[in-house]
Amino acid sequence: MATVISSAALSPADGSGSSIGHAAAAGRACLEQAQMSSADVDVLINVGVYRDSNIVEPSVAALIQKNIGINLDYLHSPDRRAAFSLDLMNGACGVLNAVQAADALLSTGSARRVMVVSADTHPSTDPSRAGTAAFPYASTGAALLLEHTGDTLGFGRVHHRSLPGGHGVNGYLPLPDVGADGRNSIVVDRDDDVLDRMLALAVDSVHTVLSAEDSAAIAQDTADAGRAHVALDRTLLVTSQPTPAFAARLAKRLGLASDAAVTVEGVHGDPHTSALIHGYRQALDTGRLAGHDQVLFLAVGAGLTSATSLYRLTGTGDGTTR
Amino acid sequence: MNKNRLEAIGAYLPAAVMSTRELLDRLEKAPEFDLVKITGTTERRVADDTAQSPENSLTMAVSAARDCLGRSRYAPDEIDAVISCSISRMTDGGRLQFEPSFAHRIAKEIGADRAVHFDVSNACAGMMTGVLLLDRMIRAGTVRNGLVLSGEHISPIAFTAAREMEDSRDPQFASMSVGDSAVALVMDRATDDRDVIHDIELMTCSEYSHLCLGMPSDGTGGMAMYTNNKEMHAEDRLSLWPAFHGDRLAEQGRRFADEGYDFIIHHQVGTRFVDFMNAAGERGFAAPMPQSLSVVDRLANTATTSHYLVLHQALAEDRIPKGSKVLMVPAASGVVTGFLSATVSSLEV
Repeated sequence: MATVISSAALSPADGSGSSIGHAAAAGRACLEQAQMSSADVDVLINVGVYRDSNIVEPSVAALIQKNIGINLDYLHSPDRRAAFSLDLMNGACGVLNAVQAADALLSTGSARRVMVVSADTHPSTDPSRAGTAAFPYASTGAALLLEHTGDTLGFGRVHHRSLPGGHGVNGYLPLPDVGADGRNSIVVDRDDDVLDRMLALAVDSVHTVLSAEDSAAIAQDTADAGRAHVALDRTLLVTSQPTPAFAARLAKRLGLASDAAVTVEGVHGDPHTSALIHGYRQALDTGRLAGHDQVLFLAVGAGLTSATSLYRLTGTGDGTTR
Repeated sequence: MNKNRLEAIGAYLPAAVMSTRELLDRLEKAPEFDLVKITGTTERRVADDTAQSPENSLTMAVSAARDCLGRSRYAPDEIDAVISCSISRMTDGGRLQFEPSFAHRIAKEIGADRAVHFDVSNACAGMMTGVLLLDRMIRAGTVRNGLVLSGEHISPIAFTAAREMEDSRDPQFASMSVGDSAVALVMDRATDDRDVIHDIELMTCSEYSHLCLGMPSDGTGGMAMYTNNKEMHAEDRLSLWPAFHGDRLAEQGRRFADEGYDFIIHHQVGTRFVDFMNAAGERGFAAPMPQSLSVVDRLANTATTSHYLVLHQALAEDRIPKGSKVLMVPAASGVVTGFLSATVSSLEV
């Protein structure tokens, strides 16, 4: 039994800057692709971090649920279908934590379908303030529809690593400094050495997942790039994108060809919590999954912390189950 | 049995007590109203984030975690998951933190280095949501145990309300009813029927998600909460819980009256709200309600920690005999409702 991606979709680049709008648009596209209705979603998990007006209540997921129209009012719906929504946040790694949570919900029969949405934006919802030196994140969103299947394809275990030392990235609203402008303000501090540390953690995380998943042969010599090269044959790396060069630099550090890792294109800024879905969708659309047996999803983010999971591709050719 | 239990509980309460009188004295524009009569709250705890050891959402959560782990059979490095559920996420001198996750910082602070960690945010149903996810993750074999916790430095919304409210019908009225606290729980697999979580189910009726919004104030600054109380507590909203709970039990051929609940803990919005919820339960289930436990008179509405703070205080006061079956009913912005039932015997504070 494993959790598989039934469909994956991105928010259209429509120039709007609402994280709720981005996530809902991606969610609707995701359902359309899967030929399902909004009533088919049992649980909605939002992993976006930076949100419209710095709203903290209700969950942004509840507002997205309403925008998509997922089982809105239990008392007044004829078939009394219930949905549950929540925000799950862990920076760029959140999407893989959500996969892990979804897997638990699906495998215990608590849900048949879980939708994971991601979206970030500058809290002012002004798209021109996103993807800048002050706020490096893109104003974009994405969605995954997850289900359980009886075969061994799909997500493997989600592995986590954390580094000691500084957080590397700090995103916060300094309330005493912003006065009445708290709905339009945000600070994102990145340490000067954060990218090098992220890269080192990413390399370490790849080796961790390989030694855990690929048993003894690799475990013997985890630091050896040559072995990683062998183990990652027919594996496409889909990673977070703290800089446009991150994926290619990681591939190089692993001794792989630069195109072994997906560089997300067409997004202004770091797609942050949406990076893995962007990378996966882009690989589908450009035919890059062909010739690969698996995708290695890898996120590194504030903390520093990482999340990694091998996704064994399903057999339909486009990487989705339908 | 593939069920889990509440293995340990811990809490942190700021020492500073603020009476409702003192809070009302802070009203800058609104004419005085009888807040005690409306909410039943006479005092609340207020965190001091300017103290030498500052009290904020993060430090209080860490203190509650240490209190909890002090009673747990698990050492910090044996904890498999840390799920932080605060709405307020206030730390570092008035910063509202977005990343890294609070859970990451807490795990680092307490030495839960191996733990999977993430934040959950689901308004006042946050801890209930964390418990639901951890319950499923343990049942699925993803983790063996975990820590669900929340530190809420939420009293700043009361002070924003006091500065900005026009009158008692102001959308910020409900903000006057909050207090600060932190609670932490360890959960693991049940080993017998003396300590077991029987059910935890949650639902979001997002048709009403706009009725209570928390965000920075665009008036005088600071955090604020805006609630449409009339709609939020309309008959239909109150009926959601018995309808959902009753349906879920009926799917398994069960009835509320047969469940043998000894105590019921509602969200601590106020004494009137608790009475309304119990009345809605009696109507919906056509059954008497279990004995109602509450702390809203002295500790106010502590948001995500409410139900577990009531449980903690009742255990501390020996009000829950061993083997009692406790029912918790969340009511949160979203709108989130649902139910958790657990038998507690070994849980001590």
